[in-house]
Amino acid sequence: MSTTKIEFAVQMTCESCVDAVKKSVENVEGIKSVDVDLKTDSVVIDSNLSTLDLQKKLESTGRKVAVKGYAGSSAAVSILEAGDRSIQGVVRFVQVTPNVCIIDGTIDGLKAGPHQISIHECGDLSEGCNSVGNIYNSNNKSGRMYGNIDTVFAEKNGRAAFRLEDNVIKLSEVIGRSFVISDKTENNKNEKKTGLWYYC
Amino acid sequence: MSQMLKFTIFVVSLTYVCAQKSAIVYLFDPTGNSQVTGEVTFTKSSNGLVATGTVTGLAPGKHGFHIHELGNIGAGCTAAGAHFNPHNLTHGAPEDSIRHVGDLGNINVGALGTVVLNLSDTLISLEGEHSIIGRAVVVHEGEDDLGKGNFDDSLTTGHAGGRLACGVIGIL
Repeated sequence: MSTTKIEFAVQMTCESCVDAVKKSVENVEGIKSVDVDLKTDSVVIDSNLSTLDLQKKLESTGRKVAVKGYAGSSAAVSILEAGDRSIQGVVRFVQVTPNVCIIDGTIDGLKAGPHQISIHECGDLSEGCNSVGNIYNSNNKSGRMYGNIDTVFAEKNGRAAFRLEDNVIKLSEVIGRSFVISDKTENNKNEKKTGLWYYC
Repeated sequence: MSQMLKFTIFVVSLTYVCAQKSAIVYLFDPTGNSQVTGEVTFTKSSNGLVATGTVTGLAPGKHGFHIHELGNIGAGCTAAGAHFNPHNLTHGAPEDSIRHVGDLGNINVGALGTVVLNLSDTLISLEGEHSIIGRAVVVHEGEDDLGKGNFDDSLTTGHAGGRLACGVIGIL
């Protein structure tokens, strides 16, 4: 498992807040290191956990927490804006080594069950999910359709949270294309949401 | 000979797939406060990139029109950061040699609030260091003074004021 450094902005006013924050992520499996800077309200965690998992742990201290982004690596983000209005989400993409990228996302408002996540060839949102083209299929030797990332599962509360390691997709090839999540069950094919990958 | 031909055809078709020939941005106001919307396509030509399309819902007159560094259109377009400026120069007009790569000047909106866009620029590109893909287009409230207005922010933003609409540039 590759680890990634994620930076959070956490409201902290004193040294005891720093201790409380440190305590909330102490002895957690998957966390390699934690750096807290009181002056800048910054908490940087090196781990293999999803952004959401870490955020929940930090929020358990009763403080406001915002994700600032991935530290020291090339990353992209897709905010899901077009398509089904009831679905909301953000997906982050970090190239940790030339061959490994981490795809980390939280998407709310889904029907419980399996959903397909994929990268589509065009970054045209003028007609929502209808103008993003087909699943992106560049030349590759992996044996899978390039943009066909994986299946993720939404819980009963409508949330799908995932952190995947992918050996096929490269950051430079997704920028400007779109991310799509669609329901995989037969009776609900229309539920779709999309957003564009951009530099962050 | 026929082998050779096949090989050439293969290479040509491969380049066609890889090289991006055009990009599109769908402009809107993420806050929903203004009614500005638009669609602009960037296409490769012998004169650099040509931007064509329409933007509607703007007040008549000139409005700054720039490529910003980041594609994040959150916080009312402010998360898109500053003008796309990989060489760390001061703000200028599109025809100036000292300018941000993202400085596309103004769009001139007619009396009905609509502008039909047709501008070309030799600095912006769909690939390499000047690639605009994955970055944002921002339409500003006021006129871009092209760096010559002597305001505090003339040499950074062209004193073009707030951000009315934006969008991420995607591959078409």
